[in-house]
Amino acid sequence: MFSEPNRPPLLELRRITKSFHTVPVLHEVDFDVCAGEVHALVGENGAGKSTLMNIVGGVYAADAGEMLWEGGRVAVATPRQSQELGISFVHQELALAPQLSVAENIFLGSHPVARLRCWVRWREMQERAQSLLAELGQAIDPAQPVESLSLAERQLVEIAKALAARARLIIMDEPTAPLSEKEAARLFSVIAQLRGRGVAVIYITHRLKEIFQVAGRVTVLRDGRRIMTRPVADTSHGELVSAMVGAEIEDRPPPSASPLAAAEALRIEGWSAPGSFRDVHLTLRCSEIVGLAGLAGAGRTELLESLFGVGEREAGRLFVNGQPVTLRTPEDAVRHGLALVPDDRKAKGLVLTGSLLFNMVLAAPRAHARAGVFPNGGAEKQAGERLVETLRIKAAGLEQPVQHLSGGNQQKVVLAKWLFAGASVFLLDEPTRGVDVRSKAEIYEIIRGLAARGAAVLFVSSELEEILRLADRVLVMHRGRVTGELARTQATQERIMQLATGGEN
Amino acid sequence: MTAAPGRARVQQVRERLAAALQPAVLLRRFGPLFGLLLLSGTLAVLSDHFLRFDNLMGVFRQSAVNALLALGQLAVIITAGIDLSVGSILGLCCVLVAMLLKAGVPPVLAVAAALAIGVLLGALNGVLFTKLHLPHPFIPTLGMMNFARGLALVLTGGFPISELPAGFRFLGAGSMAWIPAPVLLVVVCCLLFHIFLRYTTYGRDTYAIGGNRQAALLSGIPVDRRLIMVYALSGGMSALGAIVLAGRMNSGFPLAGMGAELDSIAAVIIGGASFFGGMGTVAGTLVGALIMGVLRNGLNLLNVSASWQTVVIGVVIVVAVWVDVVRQRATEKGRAVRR
Repeated sequence: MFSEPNRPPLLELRRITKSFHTVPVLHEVDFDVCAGEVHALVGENGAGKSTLMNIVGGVYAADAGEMLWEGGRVAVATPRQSQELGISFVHQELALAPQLSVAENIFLGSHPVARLRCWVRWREMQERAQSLLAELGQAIDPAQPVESLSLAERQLVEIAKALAARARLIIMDEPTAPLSEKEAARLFSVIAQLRGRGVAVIYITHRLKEIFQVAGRVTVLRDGRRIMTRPVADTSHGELVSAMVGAEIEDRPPPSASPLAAAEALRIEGWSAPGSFRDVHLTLRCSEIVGLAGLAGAGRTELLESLFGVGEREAGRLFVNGQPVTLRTPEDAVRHGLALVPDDRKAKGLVLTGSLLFNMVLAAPRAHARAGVFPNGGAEKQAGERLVETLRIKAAGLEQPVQHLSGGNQQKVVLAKWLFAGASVFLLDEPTRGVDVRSKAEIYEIIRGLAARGAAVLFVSSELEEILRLADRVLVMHRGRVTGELARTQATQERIMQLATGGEN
Repeated sequence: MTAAPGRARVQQVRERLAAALQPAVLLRRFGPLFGLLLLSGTLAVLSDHFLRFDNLMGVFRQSAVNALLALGQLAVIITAGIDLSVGSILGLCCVLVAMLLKAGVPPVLAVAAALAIGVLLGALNGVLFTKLHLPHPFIPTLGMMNFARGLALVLTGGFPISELPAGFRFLGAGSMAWIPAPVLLVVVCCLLFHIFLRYTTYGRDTYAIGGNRQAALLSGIPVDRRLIMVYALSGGMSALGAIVLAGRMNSGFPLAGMGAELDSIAAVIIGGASFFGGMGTVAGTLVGALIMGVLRNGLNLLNVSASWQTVVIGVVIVVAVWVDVVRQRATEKGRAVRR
């Protein structure tokens, strides 16, 4: 459907092999993508996706194998050479200058210039940026500074930037990870535009469902080897998952607890903050998992953080275990047994240069301290080792810095921090964002385990599937208000979307 | 089976030893020390005066004030901050303690008052930084640097206050069993700081704040209080430095400690701490202060003028940090494996 048999693919990789020191990372991987095609690349963290794409981008050199561009062999030794071929990246961590305008970012490094090659033609830049964005069907003002845009809009600016650099192949690394479903849909329509222009797209993702929406073909990598390449029409979600992990993961149905009888853990009444959320009422019981659904910008993160003593609050009352309390700072919240797993673990959850153990004891430095001042290293270590085992954290040891762990393992360390602190109310913001399939299933297990042991869990997720799989009860937010509450049996994707988009009850 | 735990333990110790003896790890941990030994060795060859006992004690005595300031500065730099006011707080405390002594206040009380003023001004740095939400500690401590220095000049009209009581001068000029009192003071302070930073929850909070302030806050660490504590500590160390310096010079002079903030920062950075926070040790900082002291002394012995000494120290600072950066990049590349 997408590949024309007579024309060579735009990019073809043949038997790419790469080792770092003596550790093999890629083994004879074949891969190709044609003009106007979206080719999805999936695999668990550590499967070799990033390394393969870094070879295409000229960041690493392959040990063996060849790269062909429109049928001719090319050597790409630097990122610059890769760009000159017409290859662009849309990064997971966006590479834009936040203070500069949209137009300046789009033409960063390729300003339209006049004589002497140093006068910037501001007006021309503005107009070209405008028309590029219009072609993508997006109404973004090119004069706006990038920092005033949403994450989704910034991503579109990156795509426009790639087009401005005359990219013919765009590599997208988990572009939908930070997006709401609606924003993701907008991205997909932009990707369809790109396809229409004959641009090739390599699409890396952990959300397998999306592949069936955007991609023509899909390739699965596992442990540095290509496991399969198929048109998406000839494969299924289940087949992809088992190709990625090498065996079927059983997806246990959640235990059907009856939480209504359990004691109240956390309650808020008339909870409001200027500009973020209004008049929220919510009760969280022990042993209960409550999902908080809604679109990005609905105020879910702000609500969660406000319960933890972060940010401004205008009005409302909060009860922990039935007692009214005031939480002015996170310190107060921790003292009352609350735990927050923030939406961005690298920026808000972890001390990246610190070891596993250092991060685990962060919220409870006095748990094993003599006189409250001198920590008992031995006791901490024992507790840490137990957590590594029970949460199945894969690391070289308690002393390893967390910055080099995979996303899933990092997230488990953040959870371990709160288990170490003995928290009883867990506020989780996008607990499986940017986490591979296997870790995701394990994190679901952990969360269910928390509830089974009596903890109360309130979690925010932009993935409806996650909400439906995990939650005993679903709350839906729209523009700062809770617009609906659904029991597990009532909750469906359609129902939630309706409430999240402001549809009638 | 019964021998297994014991064997596993031996294996564990062996592995840890092997890990600790890797060249990269050794360089990281002892790099500054290697530098100090290399420097001392070279000077021992170039000058037969260098290794004499009285010369070495002189070097230690000369380095004492910088070492004291650097300890306070270290705690601040671990939190990813900077304290530009240490030299000026030293100057002000130097003047204050001399004035109090001249007014007939007993030395113990004068010392206590100077320490209290130092801690107070340091805490004020911390309060200004955290409670006014100033963007960077550079701002409040730059303000304090001018404020305290100006006050010292106003109080004295710019003239030194000399001839201090002998009892007071012990901490700066005295000796115990041939070892200068300020050197003993530095040793004690180093031990206390080491224990504080490595073995207390407060020290651990300090590293956590430098490693990721937001994560520390969201883990329930009282970030503002800890920062105020760290700046207060730095102010206290400045006051201690002032007492040593006033004793050694037998006067309180308002320009005492001019530029000392930069020397203390240099000692901390040469000692392997990271400007981005979360990293740094007392041992490294002590070695950093000694490198600067030995370098100055050696260049003196070799009859290099003071102006040229400053040039050399400038080069040493940049080279020391550059070596660190190169080494870090090398280990980062090695780690790319897991990506």
